[in-house]
Amino acid sequence: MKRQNVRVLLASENPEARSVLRRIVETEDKTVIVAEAENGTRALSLARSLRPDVALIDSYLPSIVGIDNIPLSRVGGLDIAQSISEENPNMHVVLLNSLKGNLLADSTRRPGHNALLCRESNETCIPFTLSDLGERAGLPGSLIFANVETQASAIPQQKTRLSDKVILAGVLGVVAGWLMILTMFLATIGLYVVLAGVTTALFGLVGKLSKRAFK
Amino acid sequence: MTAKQVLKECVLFSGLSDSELEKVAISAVEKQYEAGTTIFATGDNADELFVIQEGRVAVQMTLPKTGGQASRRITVDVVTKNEIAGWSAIVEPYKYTFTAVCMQKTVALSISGEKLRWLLRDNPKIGYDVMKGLARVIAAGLNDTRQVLISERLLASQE
Repeated sequence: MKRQNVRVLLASENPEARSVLRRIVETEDKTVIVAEAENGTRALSLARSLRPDVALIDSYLPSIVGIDNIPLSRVGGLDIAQSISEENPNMHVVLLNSLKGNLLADSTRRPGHNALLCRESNETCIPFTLSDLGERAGLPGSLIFANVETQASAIPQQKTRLSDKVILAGVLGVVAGWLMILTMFLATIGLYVVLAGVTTALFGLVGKLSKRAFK
Repeated sequence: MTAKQVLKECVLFSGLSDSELEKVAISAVEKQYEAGTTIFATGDNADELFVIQEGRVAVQMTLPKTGGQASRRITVDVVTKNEIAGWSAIVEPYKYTFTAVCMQKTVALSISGEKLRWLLRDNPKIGYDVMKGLARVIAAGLNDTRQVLISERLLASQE
């Protein structure tokens, strides 16, 4: 039986965080983003109307826009995740903890690094995919507490390394060429200086000899 | 990190001397919780007071069902490292008034409420210093709540 696409709702107040989440979803096969929300109220409303298979909720999520400068208002992610999970027993709700600071910088700016979802277990973090959750369609949903981690991706990294080497080789070639040209230029000048010196010395010698001859 | 060191970093016990901290530390034990675990729920007997060493704990209040709407949980505070959860353990009627849910893997120092109450009663100096620390914790929480209230009122008046 052909498996249907896993329909995903994203929710975070931070556009960069939404971009990271979008990338996580897009790197998987058979997943599609059905909506994005920038606050909790909208996330709840979209979950009710669209009934996605999975909701990815950032734990820093204000309930409504307008009171963002108050820290307490920003921590509504858990409340929204609980409400969506309780209202939609078949939906998998993933509450994300670590979508901030260095992680965003790492996963969005460092080439060859992928963001991935994982759930904490003892000292380790167990990676999982949205397709894993999609395969449990029809079974009761769950509220999953997860982190977003970054991991070096093997193939893009190799490509980057190769291109880096080519660029480095090119730059070294240019520098070496310039050094050679400079050396040749200096050698040419040096030759003229030597010739001038020899000529001057010869003139001096000739002058000295002619003085002695006519004494 | 020893229990005494953890207590020393916590605002509730920071006013105590080393020997007084040791008396509190005797009743403390380290506990670990997975993300999503409910440490205590509203209405439970407040048997333990927790000092958070690692992780984040959401303190939630349950709003009752109203006019066809299901009951909802609202996060009113997030407790992190060196902060306390479950101060109902030393305030009558010793019932938790909120629910505490771990947002990530959490390590906490659990102090027996009963033993701590005995200690505070038998040692007035410790009792006074701990209650002074508790007043600071409650005042800070009240201040946060006031700020939220003020901004929500401002928001309502703009609409």
